[in-house]
Amino acid sequence: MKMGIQRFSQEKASIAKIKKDGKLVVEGANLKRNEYGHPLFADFFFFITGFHGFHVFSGVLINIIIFFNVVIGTYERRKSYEMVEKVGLYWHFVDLVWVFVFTFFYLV
Amino acid sequence: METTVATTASQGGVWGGGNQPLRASYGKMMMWFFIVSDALTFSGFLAAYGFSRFKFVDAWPIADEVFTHFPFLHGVPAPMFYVAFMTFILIFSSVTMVLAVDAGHKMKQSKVAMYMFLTIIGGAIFVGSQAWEWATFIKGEYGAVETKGGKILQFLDTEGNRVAIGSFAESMHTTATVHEPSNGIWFMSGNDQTSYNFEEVKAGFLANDNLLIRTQYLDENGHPTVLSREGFYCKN
Amino acid sequence: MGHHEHSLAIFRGRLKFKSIEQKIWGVFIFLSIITIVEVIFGIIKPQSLMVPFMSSFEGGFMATMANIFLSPFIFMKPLNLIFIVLTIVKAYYITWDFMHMRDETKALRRMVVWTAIFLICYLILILLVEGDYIFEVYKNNYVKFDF
Repeated sequence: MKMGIQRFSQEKASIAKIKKDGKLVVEGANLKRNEYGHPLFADFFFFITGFHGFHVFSGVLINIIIFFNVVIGTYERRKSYEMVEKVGLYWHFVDLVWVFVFTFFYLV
Repeated sequence: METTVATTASQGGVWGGGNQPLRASYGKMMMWFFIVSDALTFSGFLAAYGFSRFKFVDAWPIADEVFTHFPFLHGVPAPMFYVAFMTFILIFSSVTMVLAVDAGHKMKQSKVAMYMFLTIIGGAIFVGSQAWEWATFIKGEYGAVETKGGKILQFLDTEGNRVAIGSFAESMHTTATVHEPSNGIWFMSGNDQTSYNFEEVKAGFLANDNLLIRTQYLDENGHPTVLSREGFYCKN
Repeated sequence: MGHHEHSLAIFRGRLKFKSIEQKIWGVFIFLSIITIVEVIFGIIKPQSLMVPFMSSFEGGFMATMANIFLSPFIFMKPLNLIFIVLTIVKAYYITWDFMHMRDETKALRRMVVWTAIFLICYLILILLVEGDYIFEVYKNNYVKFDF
């Protein structure tokens, strides 16, 4: 037992680490493990940018609906473009969220 | 009174709900309330991210070393450029959106349509960029080894550059097959199939004297700790 | 909604625009400059901004109070502090000029902004304090995690 520990501590740090602790190969990233580091890093990356991306995607769909309403003259007949304004608020909010995601995921 | 969609409401007078003390229509105020609630949802997620990051503050990946890719620039490290590009796209589509709103105030139909169209294009480019970034992130570049404790070990050359596992792993022809529901116990799953298995990477690492291991723990300068090949490893 | 007047000035009236379109483009240029500055700092990461401005005070109640009030300067890297301040500046101009918060009534503005700011600050404070506590527990206990 004593000899074992002694022999072990004589080995070089890198080699000892991979021999003693190494278990499997990781390529890329998924929700369980990723090659970049802590699994939570990839989990939060997928979750938060995914949720934001979903917001952008919904925003694009809503914008397309409003675009066609504008083109066929719905708001001209209504004499008010307030719908564009409401969708605009949503779209700016999505931009606002990205400003924070950008800072806390990529800068800080 | 103002021209609003709900013209019937404004005819109701003060007691009929037609009064607008905040000078905002029902629909617009509800949009603001939705935005507040959605902002709180996002804050919850970001605060949870901050919580986890503070919990493992000495072992968190450095974003600059993860997001270094730019489309069509293979192998050229371009940290941050792609996200900066995405940010500009989104800010620009915000500008076209607010120009559409302004054109709407002036009742210029064709201008609203044009600006809405540009906004949609910007949003589509952003979502597409996001998808590309996810694909790059999922694919990975260098590969790594996971330890028994679930920690990640990455490989460096002696100059400190990252080395891909594919460039040094010694291929051994093993007979190991992937554990899939069809050939094993259906409710258990094996590990993902990787292009090299751990034994091959280990053999390649031991055979190459100019390779080092980097752990995910950061030293006092904020750089990941690099384990040497010469020094002694003290097991504690 | 409103055909009431749009405010055409930003920076507390120091910069006035002739029309609403010009104000939008002006704000866009301002936001772009901030983003470019952020990206440049993010790539260069100047060494001088990577260590906190001050070290924490030791001993006594007043030292603890000083540590709490000056915590952004004692416990944060100046670079991260700059990023967060610039982000809040960007958020302010997006909300005030793109979402026309500047033109809303004071009551609506406070209803939206104060509520959100208060709840978000509270949430961030408790979660970050808790995360830091768990980090200390992991670091100082007798169980080994790096294997």
